[in-house]
Amino acid sequence: MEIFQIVILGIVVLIILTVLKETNPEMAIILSLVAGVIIFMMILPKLSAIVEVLNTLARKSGLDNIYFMTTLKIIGIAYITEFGVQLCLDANEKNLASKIEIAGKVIIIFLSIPIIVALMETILSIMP
Amino acid sequence: MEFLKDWITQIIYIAILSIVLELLVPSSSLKKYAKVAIGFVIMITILNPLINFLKGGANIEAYVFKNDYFLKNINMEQISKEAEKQRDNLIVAEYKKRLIEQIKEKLLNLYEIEGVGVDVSFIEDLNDKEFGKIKEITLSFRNARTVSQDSEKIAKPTEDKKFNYEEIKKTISAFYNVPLKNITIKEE
Repeated sequence: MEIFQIVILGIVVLIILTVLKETNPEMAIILSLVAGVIIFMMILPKLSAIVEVLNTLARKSGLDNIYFMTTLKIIGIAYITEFGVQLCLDANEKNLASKIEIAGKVIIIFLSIPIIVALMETILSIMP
Repeated sequence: MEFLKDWITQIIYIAILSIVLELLVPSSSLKKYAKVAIGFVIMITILNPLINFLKGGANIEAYVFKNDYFLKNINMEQISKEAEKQRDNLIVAEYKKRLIEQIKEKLLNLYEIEGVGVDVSFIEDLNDKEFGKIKEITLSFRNARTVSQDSEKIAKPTEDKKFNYEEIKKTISAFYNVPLKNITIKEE
């Protein structure tokens, strides 16, 4: 079971981090970054399987590919932004974290703009 | 009836899909943004058959593609402007390099002098009608030396002879159509 590996890895890194934060805070940030990337790598195959199933579901529901890809991109951006924000918060860089968050929000809005405008135009076009 | 059945099936699929997608979104302040976008997608998918039915062929995908293309095009325009700027800079740099090489070659061929430091200032605006017109030439003879064309003998200027600065100035001035006062010669 992967979850055991992930939790054990998390606990081990946590113990090392508690010691390191006192003596060497810079290394602690790098270690938490590396641990985050490793955990992400471990769940990546599962995630790709989920995306594959969702893809099939989207095809069956007649959802256009452009919408599905946009939604997946938005979720991916949310994950990556969250990763960066948490890392910055760990390093007590609240300013940088909020900037990354703003960037994530802007990119998500940018990606959803075509859908919003298209929806507006279609609704307006059926108005008598 | 077939149309209605398809539509209901589609809505059920979309509902399941949206629940799974919302579960996938990480729990942060970004969740509401992602949920809004997912909500719009669901709305479009539910509305699309209805609009098609009402309007007889209003194509919502065409609108999405149009807006998507428009947004990407803005980006492309910026990139192409940047590329144009870089290309202009490269043209100016290349022009300057060749001009300096030409002046050096001229000095070598006519006066057998090499190692002259040349600096040229000219109109660098590519849109200007007089692009490339030389404003000023600076020749630095600090490391210059005469080279004999016949043999490999090399002599230092101080040991051999003084360069004929006035003549060099006149030649360069005549060739490049630069006023004499705009040609500066640094001897040391």
